[in-house]
Amino acid sequence: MTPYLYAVPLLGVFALLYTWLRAGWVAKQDAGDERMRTISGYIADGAIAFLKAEYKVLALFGLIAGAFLFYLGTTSSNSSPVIVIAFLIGAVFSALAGFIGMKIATKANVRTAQAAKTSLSTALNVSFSGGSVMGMGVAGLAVLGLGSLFIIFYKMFVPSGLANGEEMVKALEVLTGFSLGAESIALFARVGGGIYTKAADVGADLVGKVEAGIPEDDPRNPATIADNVGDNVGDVAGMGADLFGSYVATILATMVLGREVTVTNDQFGGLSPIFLPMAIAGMGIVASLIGILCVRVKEGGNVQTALNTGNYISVVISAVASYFLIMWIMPSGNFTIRGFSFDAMGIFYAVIVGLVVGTLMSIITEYYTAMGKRPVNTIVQQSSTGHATTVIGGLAMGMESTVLPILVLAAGIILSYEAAGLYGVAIAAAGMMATTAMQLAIDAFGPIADNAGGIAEMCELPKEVRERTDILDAVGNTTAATGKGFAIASAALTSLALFAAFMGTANITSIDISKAPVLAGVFIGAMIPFIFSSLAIAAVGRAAMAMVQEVRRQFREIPGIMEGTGRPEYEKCVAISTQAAIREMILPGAIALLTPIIVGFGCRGLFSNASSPEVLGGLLAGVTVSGVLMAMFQSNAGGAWDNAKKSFEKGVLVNGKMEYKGSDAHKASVTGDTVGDPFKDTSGRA
Amino acid sequence: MNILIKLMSIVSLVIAPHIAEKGGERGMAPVKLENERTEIATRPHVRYAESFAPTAVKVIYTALREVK
Repeated sequence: MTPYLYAVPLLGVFALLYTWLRAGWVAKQDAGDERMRTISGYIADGAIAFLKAEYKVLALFGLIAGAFLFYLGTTSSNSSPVIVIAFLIGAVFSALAGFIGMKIATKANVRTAQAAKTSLSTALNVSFSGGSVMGMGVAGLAVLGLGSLFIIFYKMFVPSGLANGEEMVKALEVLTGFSLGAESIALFARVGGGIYTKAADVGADLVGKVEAGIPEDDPRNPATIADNVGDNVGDVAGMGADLFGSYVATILATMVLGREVTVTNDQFGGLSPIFLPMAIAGMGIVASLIGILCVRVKEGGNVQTALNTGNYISVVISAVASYFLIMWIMPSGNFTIRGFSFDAMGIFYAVIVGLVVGTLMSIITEYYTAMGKRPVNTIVQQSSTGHATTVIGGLAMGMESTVLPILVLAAGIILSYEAAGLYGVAIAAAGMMATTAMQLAIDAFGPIADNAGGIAEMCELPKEVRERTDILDAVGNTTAATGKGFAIASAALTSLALFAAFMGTANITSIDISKAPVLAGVFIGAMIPFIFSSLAIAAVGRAAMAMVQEVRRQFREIPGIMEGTGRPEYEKCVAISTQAAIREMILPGAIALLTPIIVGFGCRGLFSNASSPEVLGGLLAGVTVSGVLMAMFQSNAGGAWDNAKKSFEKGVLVNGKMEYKGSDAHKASVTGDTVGDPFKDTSGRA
Repeated sequence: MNILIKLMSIVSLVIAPHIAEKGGERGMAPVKLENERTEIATRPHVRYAESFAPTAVKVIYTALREVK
């Protein structure tokens, strides 16, 4: 075995070392006065309480799933009961990724608010440092876990050292357990966190803003702490687990396909196509760290430009370094995968395609959700004629927003395939995900800045503090939108790579939709994202109703609450969100986990003209196509409604007249935003 | 939705070796019918019970057939 393989987990350790040192730096920053510490303490306690409750349920799930995997491991020569260990490590690492993010975010929020008293650059430094802790932590855990387990399983299951043999199939199959653990936790964290955050947000907005007429994050609103806790458990912990899962799945799918690539005369004993995606991920950690260190802004400077500069630096370094890495790792000459011939340069082109697709998807998403652009302006204009036209406008815009990203994705799939076959499609996704640490640092910075603004409002800090946190928050909203575009693109390419890996492992060469059972599978698969969304959105509706009733009760029954002399019972609202999230996340999660198992095993021998892997392949095709479209539609519609509402905060020209907060058009835009909240933050992103 | 599609793909990849086709035969029902018994045997629930169900289900199924 090549000693270079050890460099992968070592780079993971390097990233975790940075995480530890930077987290220590953030913790040492001034956390402000007594009131600020008390408010941020409520938020941190609520977030920890939710994670504890969530992890208890997930531990039970882990035991049941582990038992099932153990059984599967004993029934196939291509698997092993050791898959349970990989699964549990993946699940624990995924939970840890979310926990690290949530812990640092709840420390960085109050310190950002305190730093904003000094200057914008100091506030950005603290909030972005918090984001970078999470980004490097997630990437470090992923690379450390995957790299170490691969070395262990390679030694355990591949004594011959043959990279293309059946022994390697077994080693990679067992390694798949790590990814399964990671994605399972990610799904529950995203669904649970999404329900939590939106139940609190919708509840706080409907009674606080609309009925009582008090501003966002007002300390008199009983749901305001739950709302801020939601930013952490949904936008930070959920996102950490999500991108951890994506990162691992992408690398793993490329490794599985890499086993099928036939190479000769490489310096790694035939391992080069399997080693390459791990090497690119390790290199991406270094590129991301350089990008992170380049994010600086002067007082009065542009925060968005500073973040973009850091991001582009890491992407360019990744692209250049990928070239040298590919040329070093892959031997000269041609390789083949499933009859498709390509060379090292083709792999590099595929990586470039991945980076370009990721960037374009982010730009298109930003266009459809940014203030001042045609899509949001159209919804703003439609707000002038009422609530219904606002909702209709947003739905139409969300549907339109799928056109360009799908064309970009389609072009990306074709070009990366032309460059290096199915291995090219997978490596394009791996190239796109190489700078995950940087992307996540930018993504996590948003909710930290949002929370900082909330703390500034609740603690009645000076106006200039809120102005500075508002600047950071506005940038955070944009980065959140572009991050979603990036996440959807990576998920689509990763799913295609996983799909190709599944076909190879299941020993099928094509999915023929002229066979009735396969076509039925496609339709059933296409339906899954709809029922999944329905369950998630309905859960938010039910939890929000309970929240609204509780907030109304407190406004009615607690004396002096509106005058600011009576203390709201924040903990009751936190409990409503927590219980609803834990209860409601189980069914959508179960659908995602059980459907492939039921179809895969249930259809064995059922049809005379189609095997169960073919039917399951049809199901996966349906769920991928429908899921990607639904994700784009829901995320972009929700984002556009949100920014249409925000356009009224500074005033916007509607039919030749300036309209502000409180106008009828603004009230209609709030309805659109409320409809879009579970779209973009619960079902769309899970 | 991102995680939904990835998770379903990974679950499928994990179970793939257990449902994999061998020489294009396994997991697919027989096509040619030779006699009535074979015809009955190709009915989905019969094929499932006789060929792919867990042992416990097979035992119960066989017992019920003998009772009939």
